[in-house]
Amino acid sequence: MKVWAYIHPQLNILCCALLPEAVPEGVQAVEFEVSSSDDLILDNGQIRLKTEAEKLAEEKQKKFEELKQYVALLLSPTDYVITKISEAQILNDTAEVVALKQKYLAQLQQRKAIRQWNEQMKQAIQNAQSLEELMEIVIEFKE
Amino acid sequence: MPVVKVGMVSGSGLDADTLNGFRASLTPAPNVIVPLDASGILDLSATYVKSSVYTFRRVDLTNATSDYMLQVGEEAYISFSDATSVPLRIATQSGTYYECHLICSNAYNASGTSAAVFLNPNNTTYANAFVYAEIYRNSTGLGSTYITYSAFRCAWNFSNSTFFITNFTQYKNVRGFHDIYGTTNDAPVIVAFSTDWRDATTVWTSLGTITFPQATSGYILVRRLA
Repeated sequence: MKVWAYIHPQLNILCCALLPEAVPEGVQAVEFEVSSSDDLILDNGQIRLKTEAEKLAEEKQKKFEELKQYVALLLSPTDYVITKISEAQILNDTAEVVALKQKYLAQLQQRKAIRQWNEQMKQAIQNAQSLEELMEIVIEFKE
Repeated sequence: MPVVKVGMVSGSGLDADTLNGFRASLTPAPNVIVPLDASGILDLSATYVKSSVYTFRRVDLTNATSDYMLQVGEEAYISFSDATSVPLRIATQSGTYYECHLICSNAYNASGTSAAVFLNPNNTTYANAFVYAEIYRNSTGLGSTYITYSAFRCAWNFSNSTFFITNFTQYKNVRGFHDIYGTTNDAPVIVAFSTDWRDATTVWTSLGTITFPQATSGYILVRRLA
């Protein structure tokens, strides 16, 4: 896609017009061919294309955030188990702690598996060498 | 009070087929009275109804080449096919308020790109000037997001989105709700969202362009409410 990039005269931020007529009058714009307006960056007052390394770093951050949210969702249905055990620990009720751990063994094991999978995914994202490699990483936990 | 003139004598200068001088026709036109048609329908599709405060009319802005200012009550229809960028071609100004329906027609199991649909005000992106908040429920559970963008995020992937647009130069916001489909394991998803343009000075003059993360088909309805 074509965009017409310019620096907002008042706000001093990067703007990308998606139509040539959207460039404000009297403002100098530079035409770029990009896959998304996110491909551009304002760097020390100059508009330029992001490098592959910059794009990869940004996409990795997005992937980390997506993973974090997904893991939080996976853990949330069994958070009550942790609350119950924590309450028993605070009350120094050792017998209750042991009983709860036994009662909720399956849930605790599942949480452990989710956390292990989370660490593996974080490593995979960190190790990705290209955008293609990163995009191939599907965030989906399978028990 | 109107006077119905019927049965006037020919040659009197008065026309028996008029009401207060207005003739009737099934085809709407200036100074013409339109009766109900054979199906009992008042068909004004060639024109519109207007009061001092509200206009009943749908305008088709598909393929429009310049911006059109909707009157209060007036509705725009924009259809698109396999598009990644759809200019709405709707002029706007401070003090206006709109209801928007973004309807995608792609198959429920279409494979989409997991990324945002944006409304780019003034057909422009403004780097990191928009803050987006959402609460969602998907197949995994309940979650939330709070994130910065360069345009109004109004949907995700393939969506049917209903949102409301506030345009005061000092406060510009888009908020609503939408579903999401075309993802591997999440659909259906319901999302409630709000997104602010954190800029109290830039004037919003063109409602903007909708951008999709993948080729998308469907239509958009925009009704001006104020």
